[in-house]
This record gives sequence, structure tokens and C-alpha cells, in this order.
Amino acid sequence: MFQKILIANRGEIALRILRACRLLDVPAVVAYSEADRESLPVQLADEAICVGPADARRSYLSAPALISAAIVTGCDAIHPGYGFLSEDEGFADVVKAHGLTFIGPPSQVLERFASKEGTRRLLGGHGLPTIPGSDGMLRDEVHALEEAERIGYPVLIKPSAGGGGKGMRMVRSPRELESAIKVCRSEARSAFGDDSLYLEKWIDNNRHVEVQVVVDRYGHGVHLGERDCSVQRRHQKIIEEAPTPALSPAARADLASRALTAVIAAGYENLGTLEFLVDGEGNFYFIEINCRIQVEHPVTEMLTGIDMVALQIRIAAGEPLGFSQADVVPRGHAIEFRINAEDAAHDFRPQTGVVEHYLAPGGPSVRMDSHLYAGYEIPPYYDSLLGKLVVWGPDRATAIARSRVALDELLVDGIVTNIPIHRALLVNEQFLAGRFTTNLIDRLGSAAFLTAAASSASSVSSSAHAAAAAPAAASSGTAAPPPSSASPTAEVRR
Amino acid sequence: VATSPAVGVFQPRREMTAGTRVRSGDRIGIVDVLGVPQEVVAPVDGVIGASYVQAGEAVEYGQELIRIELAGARPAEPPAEATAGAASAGSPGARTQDSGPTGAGAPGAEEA
Repeated sequence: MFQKILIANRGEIALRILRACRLLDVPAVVAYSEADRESLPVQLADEAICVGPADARRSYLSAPALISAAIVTGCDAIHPGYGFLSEDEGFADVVKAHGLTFIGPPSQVLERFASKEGTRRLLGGHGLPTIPGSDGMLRDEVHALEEAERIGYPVLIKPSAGGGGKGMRMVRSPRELESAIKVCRSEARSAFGDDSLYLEKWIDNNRHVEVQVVVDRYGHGVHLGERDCSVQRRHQKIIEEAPTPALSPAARADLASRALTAVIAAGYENLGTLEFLVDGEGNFYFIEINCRIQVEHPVTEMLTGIDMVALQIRIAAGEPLGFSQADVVPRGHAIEFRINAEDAAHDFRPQTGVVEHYLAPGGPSVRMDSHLYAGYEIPPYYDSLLGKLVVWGPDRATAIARSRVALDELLVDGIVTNIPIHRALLVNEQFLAGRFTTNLIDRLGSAAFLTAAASSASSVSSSAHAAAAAPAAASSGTAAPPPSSASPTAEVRR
Repeated sequence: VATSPAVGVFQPRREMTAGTRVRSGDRIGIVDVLGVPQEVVAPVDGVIGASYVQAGEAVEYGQELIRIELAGARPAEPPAEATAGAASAGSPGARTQDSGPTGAGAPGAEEA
């Protein structure tokens, strides 16, 4: 195990890593920027070191500052958290060159999975379905029409040099394709100076489902099930839950075991998440892999009882996994709500300010991971995540009912947060039915979404409460966890 | 007070002993960041005062390193003889190597 770990991140994840270090009895040093001097992880840390100014490029994104901080404080490992340098193979490389351990996949593994296109080809070669696309670049109109026919409409026309949605068009018929391809070519030429285009199958009303895997240095791995992250706005997840309501238990097991087999065959190591798009028929397509601990990891922790951050640290230290797939027994249903400092009524505009009052909710199987405290001033320099409310129940309806109670209890005064959108989601029929797709909030517009929820709240919530109460009562005699346990009991035997 | 520009190991310039007159922007030491020296500069015109850290000590970003005493009268007064430095001993935890208060004396000395 490590002598001492530098926590190279901020906010709730710095706190989460600090807790894992304490659990493992490893001293930790919190690295912080000047803007985070008064932050909770810095206050709770036994040792903290200022690594730079508020500008993340000179603090949380500065490899020399972080490595120097690790060395002068006597650390032999760096935990990058998520975001910032967490998937930067260059950083992982330099960390290693200085005789320290990067807590995450080794740099050569990060490098192998660095390119999205390359990773799709690599894992596609190990049996994961990827989104069907054209065979290389489109030569001319005839070639485009042939390829679109083969893939099946609707298709997405994408520029090879693309980014930011420019030169991209979704078409539903050969006629649309013929006219759109000319527009796309000229757009791509003017935007990127390169008019080569290719086709990808368009997945209508897709859901985002991801599989959590963990593989040790010796090639032993398990999957920890999947998470459904379909509730998004502009490709940002706001609610995650597990298990996914989109797939049957058999389909979920199939997806997870195929994901695990593919990453082990491809030589992956440490924690990883494979993201898939799932279409209306339950077909899944691999999109990308995240080589880090994810924001939504507590959902999986609630289901499995595994401390994933501690596990990640143990694996980075070279310890064997120590358990097998049969030891992983997910129970019940968990939902995570990302509490952000943003105004849902005004297009999710980020907010700053001072937290006047803060009260974290409690009750059975309610967990709040947050760095908030009364008097905390939210700095404007970083992302708007304030914390994560994670709620578990023996089934989805109970988890939703408990979530409603917890969200009503949660108090963050002094700043505008996105709590109203979560309340709105909990009375949304699509969400309650488990039919939410990734485009739903954006399609309606957040303000319209809130208004619609407010007007239907009175009628829907009463029936939803009734629906939620019934299974909860039914299961209390059989499947409910012991009342004393604040979180599901660990089902993992070492 | 001259502060650290980075996380690393502090080394003062040898000639920058207490009592040395400096101009704003003068290099008075370095912080070694993984072998790359980052300059510590005097933030104001003045005279080198107490050091808060020793040579070779690890420092964090923004840490106070060396006190610069503002010269009461700016023009060329030769630095006063280093007298026993009661003036700079005030800061808690400061490791007073050799304080060199200016002729203007401690009470009026503003902290840079």
C-alpha cells in the first residue's frame, strides 16, 4: 500500500477520496488552488498544500505543480479524481517518471484507450457492437446512397474533421441525403478546410447505459453492473440510476459480461466505465470508455456495497482484486441526483454566491456526498457540481419515493440550484415509467419542462406516491434491508 | 513580503542577505519545481528583512518567504548596520535568520 497519497482534485470528489484514504489508513494530502483555501476538503484534511492560483491551468491542471507538491510532502501516489488530469496519459507518464504512482490505469493503458475511434475499433474487435457506419469516407453521391441503404435510415452525416456539431446532419431518406450531402460538404469545407464526410447510423430516442468494470494488474476483473444515465441536458448527466429500466435482467447481464470480456481481452487495468447507446429495441452500441472514477460511482456502491475508491487505490497499489464475479451481488435500486449551482429555469446558467444555510437530508439509505457548508462561498472558476444525493430502495418505486422525501428535505439557501428540476423529474411520467431518453429535457427546453411539471405535479404526484407506497410496503416484509443499516450491506467477501 | 511563485523547494540568492537593498522585481531567490527554478522576486523597493523559511525548505504556492522592509526614505541611504532585529520577530513561526531593519525603525515599517 502507499505511504501517502496526494489528492489532486477539489470539491466533493476530493472529500470522497480523503474518506477512502482514511478507511485504508493511508495519510493523504489535499492539493488545492488559492480559490479553494476555505473549502471543506482542505479544512478536513490532516495536511493540505496550495499548488497554484485559482486558474486551473496553473493549479489542478498543472502537472509540475502537482508532482512537485507530491514530492515535497512525501507522497508516493497521486489520485487525480475525475476531470482535470484524470485521463491524461501524459500526466500519468510524468508521474511515473518521478517515481510516483498514478491512481488509475497505467499510462500505457491510458494511451491505448486514448483515441475514441481507436478504442471503438479495438473493443469492436473484441466483440462489442459499435454504431454501424459507412466504410470509410464517402466518395460521391452514389457511394453515399449505397452506404446509407446498407446501414439503414435514419443516418447521420458527419465530417471527418468535425467537432461541435458543424457540418453534421441527420437524414431520414435518400432524398434528404442527396440534398443534405452538398450542404454538409460546403459547411465542412469552410469550417475545417476538409470536406470529407462519413455516415453513422442515427440512434433515435436513445438511452445512455454504462457498464462499470474493474480489472486488477493480473488480468482478473469483474463488472459491477450498469448504470442508466439517460436523464441529461446538453449531454450532461443530471440523474443516474441502476439498474437500468431499459433492459431486461438477461439483457443487462449479457451487456455487462460482454463489456467485461472485451476490456480484459484488450488489456485494460483499474476502474473503467464503458458507455453504450441503447436504442428502443434494446440494441446496444459501444461509444467510449472512461478511464477514471466517475461522478456517478456511488450508484454502484449503493447496489454492491463496494467502496470503489478504496478498491481503485488498492488496485493501483498492485493488490489483487481479491473477489470474483459471484461475490458481487447487486441489490435493489439506487438513484443519484447531481445537485448543481445552476438555474434550471434559465437554461442552466451557472450560479455563484455564498451558501447561507445547508442541510443534508437523512433517513434510511440516503447518502449525500457534498463539500457544502453554511458560509461556503462558491468560487466561479470551476464546475457547478455542489454534491450528489444518492438514494437506495429495495425497488425503483421505493427509491423514487425516498428520493422525493430526501429532495424536499435538502436545503441549500443563498444560491440558485437545480433542485427544482429534480423535483420536476420525479413527477415526470416518462421518468416514472422508466422511459426517459437522452434528448428529452433539451427537446422540451428546461423552462418548459419545469412549467409542465409544476402544472401536472398535483395530479401526478399523488398517484405516483400511491404507486410507490405499495411495493415499498409489500417488500418491507421480505426484501427490505435491516432497518439499522444506513446503506445496503456489503455483499462482497474478500 | 515576497511570496512563493510555485510549490517546491526554496533557495534564497546568497547575496540577498538581510539588509540588502532591493528594487521591485529584483530576483531574491528561487523555488525549485522538479529541477526548474522559478524566480522569487521582490514585490516592492526596500530592504531584505526576515526570512520566514530556511534555504532548502519545501514551500507551497503563495507562501510568505522573505519580508521586504519598505525604506522610509527612498533615496540612497546606505543600508543600516544590522542591529538585533526585534522588529521582524513579530511574525509567528517566522525563522528569523538575521533581521535588518532599516534606519526608519520597526514601528513605522510597513509590511510589503
